[in-house]
Amino acid sequence: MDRSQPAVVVEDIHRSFGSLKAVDGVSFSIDHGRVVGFVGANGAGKTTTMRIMATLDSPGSGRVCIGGHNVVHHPAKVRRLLGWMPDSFGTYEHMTVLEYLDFYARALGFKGADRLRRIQEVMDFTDLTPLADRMSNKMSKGQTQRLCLGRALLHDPQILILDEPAAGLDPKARVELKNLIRILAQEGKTILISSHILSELGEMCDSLLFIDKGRIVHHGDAESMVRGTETADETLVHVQIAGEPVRLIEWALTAPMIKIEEETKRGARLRIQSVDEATLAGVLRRMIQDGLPVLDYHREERRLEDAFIDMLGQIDKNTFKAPPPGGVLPKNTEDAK
Amino acid sequence: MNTTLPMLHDFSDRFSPIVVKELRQGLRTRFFTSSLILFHTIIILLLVTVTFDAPVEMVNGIFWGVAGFMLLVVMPLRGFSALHTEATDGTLDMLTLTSIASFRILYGKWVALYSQALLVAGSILPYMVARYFFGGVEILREIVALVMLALGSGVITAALLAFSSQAPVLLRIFLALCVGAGAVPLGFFTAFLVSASQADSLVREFFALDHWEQFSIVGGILALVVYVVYYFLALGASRIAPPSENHSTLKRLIALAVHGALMVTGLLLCFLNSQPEVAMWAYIPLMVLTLIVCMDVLTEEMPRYSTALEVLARHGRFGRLAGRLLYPGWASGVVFSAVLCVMALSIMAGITWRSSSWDWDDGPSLYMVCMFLAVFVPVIVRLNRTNTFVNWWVVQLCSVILGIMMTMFCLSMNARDLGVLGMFTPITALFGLNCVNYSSRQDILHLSCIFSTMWLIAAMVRAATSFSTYTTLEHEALDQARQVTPRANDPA
Repeated sequence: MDRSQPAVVVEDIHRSFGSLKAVDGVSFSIDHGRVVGFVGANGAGKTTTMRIMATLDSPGSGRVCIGGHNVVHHPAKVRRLLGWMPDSFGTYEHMTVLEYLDFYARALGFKGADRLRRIQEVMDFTDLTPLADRMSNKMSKGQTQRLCLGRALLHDPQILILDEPAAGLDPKARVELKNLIRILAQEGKTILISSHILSELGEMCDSLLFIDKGRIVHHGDAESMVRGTETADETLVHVQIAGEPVRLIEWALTAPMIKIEEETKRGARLRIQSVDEATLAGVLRRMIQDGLPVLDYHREERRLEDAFIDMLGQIDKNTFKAPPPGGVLPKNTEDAK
Repeated sequence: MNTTLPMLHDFSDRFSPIVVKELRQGLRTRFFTSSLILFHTIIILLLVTVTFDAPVEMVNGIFWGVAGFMLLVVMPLRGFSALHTEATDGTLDMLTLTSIASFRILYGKWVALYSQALLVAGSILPYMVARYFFGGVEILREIVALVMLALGSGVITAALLAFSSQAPVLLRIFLALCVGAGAVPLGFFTAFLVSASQADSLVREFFALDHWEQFSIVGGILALVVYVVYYFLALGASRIAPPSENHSTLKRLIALAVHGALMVTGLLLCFLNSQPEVAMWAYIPLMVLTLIVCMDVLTEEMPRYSTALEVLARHGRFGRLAGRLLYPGWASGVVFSAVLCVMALSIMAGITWRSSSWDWDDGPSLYMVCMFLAVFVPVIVRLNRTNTFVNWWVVQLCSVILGIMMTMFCLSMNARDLGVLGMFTPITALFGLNCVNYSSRQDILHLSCIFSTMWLIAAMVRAATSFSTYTTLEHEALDQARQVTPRANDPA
């Protein structure tokens, strides 16, 4: 694979299902060894884009190259470079974990002892060896996802496309999966991963792609996303007081420049119409002067989820301005606008 | 490494991965094991009744009824939703990514299912020997019957597998019933072989033939079975293949070769034999195959990517011209179907030509013309715009229902002349002809043929307008060929 070119290049792809435009001019590229999160609401076009990249669907127009090979013209070459893990997959009935992996290893061309060695490596990596004789359709969701990841890794692909791998997993299984992906990233694999759990994506990924209504709306790292959707003249602070929180609420209702964002068990989240640190300190001083027993007063960091929801709202109102991208080549035409 | 895995020694590397997977799964399914146990229990009980002086004919009838049901219904039914299940479970995508070709997926599934059917067929042999021991059984005829059932099982399995690629369950049930109806003659023939004493003369006649004649008949039947199985598997493969792949050109070339061979055989039998009706032995299979192939090629989606055309597009003007016959898609399918229909009808024309020595007018030929032209109607009538395969069957079914209703109306109202109204579509014309008075039937038949030909002409015009799609993709394919250099093509 030519490492001087990006591992993945997606150029202005469109895909419609009847009158529905599932993907509408998506463009981006991913360098080798990067871990990129793919974020979007249900029906935003994530899975369709990923399926096109995985040669399982074809674009109505546009071009997708994986490792320098066009997915339409050279699907076989692309498939050799690619590991694909779908959002939901059925395991086969009446087939053990070992037989399941054995089948895919055969299908990928592994023979004899080589096949067993590769299956052994994959099962050890995904910690499936103790489950070798378990029926593949009788496993927990976490085990099934590990099996699916193992299948995707059998031919040691350099590029992995993981569609919602953590969906439906319990916290323990999610941590296990995250660790596996982290190891794969350390091995230098290029990974495109979609998920609804944005905080985890923020931790795992070098950069994030945000898609909405079939268009890429932001392409950059998590921080630039949070900064980009921040309202410039407001700050969110979390306040906790001793005793009844109703005192704080009553105080906030009469205080200037302060709005109550949310009441909490021991206080409230307040939106202060200023970002000036002296003003924020002045608000705390006034609280104490007015006799509020303040236990905790801190500025809240915006969560990625909040930023994403704010961004969708801003897009609906046509007020969204894409922040400058960070980390990944700015290929998206929407970003340029 | 944590622990060492046990090596799986059940299947050698020489087996296709799909066959291995299907056999591992299939032999463990409750459906297979329970039906096999039930089948053998019935057969054993049946043999026990022989010892109690039960009538041999009755035992024979039940024995072959159960065996036929098992081989022609139960075993092939396992392919009923094979591909659809893979598609809905998402496992078909996984198979596609392994680069196993679509045809190999179908072929592997068929081999696995059919080998299980052969396992059942093989398990019948000891009971046949036991019944032979008790007497009243003609073992040679029974072996021939078993072979016929086994061959029929293979064809039905392939057909059901191919149709399992379709999502609508009602359509699959309907198609399964059609396949079942197609298997009824085989059932009758088997019943005739094992029960009728006339079958003895048939067997004797066969052995009285020259060796080359015997070889020709057996070889011809086997070749036809192989071709039909291949075609059904290719049909199914083309339905599950990615749209950038071409699964049509090879299929059509093989179809042309087989249909051509059958046509030549039919014409030789017609013109070199004192009894031209012998050519019907070539015509009947050719007719059935033509209808199947036309249904397939006329329901193919038009290609969207130049990769599907590049094999022929790169062969200059001749390649592009051949493409109008062999490219994937219904538009070239119209031309291809017309060619196949002409090939089939040439045998009927030959028989009619030699009708002076035989009681045969042009009536049957014209009936056949109407029947063949019926395949083109769904090209024009689009009741289902999204799925051409479903559309083809729905249109034909509606035509048949319309024809039956018209016949019932004409007969119940005693208004036989109204049958003339049916001549506007080929299928209703065939029904309408049964209503009209005998004296005017020949004239109306001619008129029906003329009206039916209009459908072909309309389909041709529609196809010609869609050829622009091929032209665009041909240009793209040629551009692609010019752009691709070995350096860009090869991985670094």
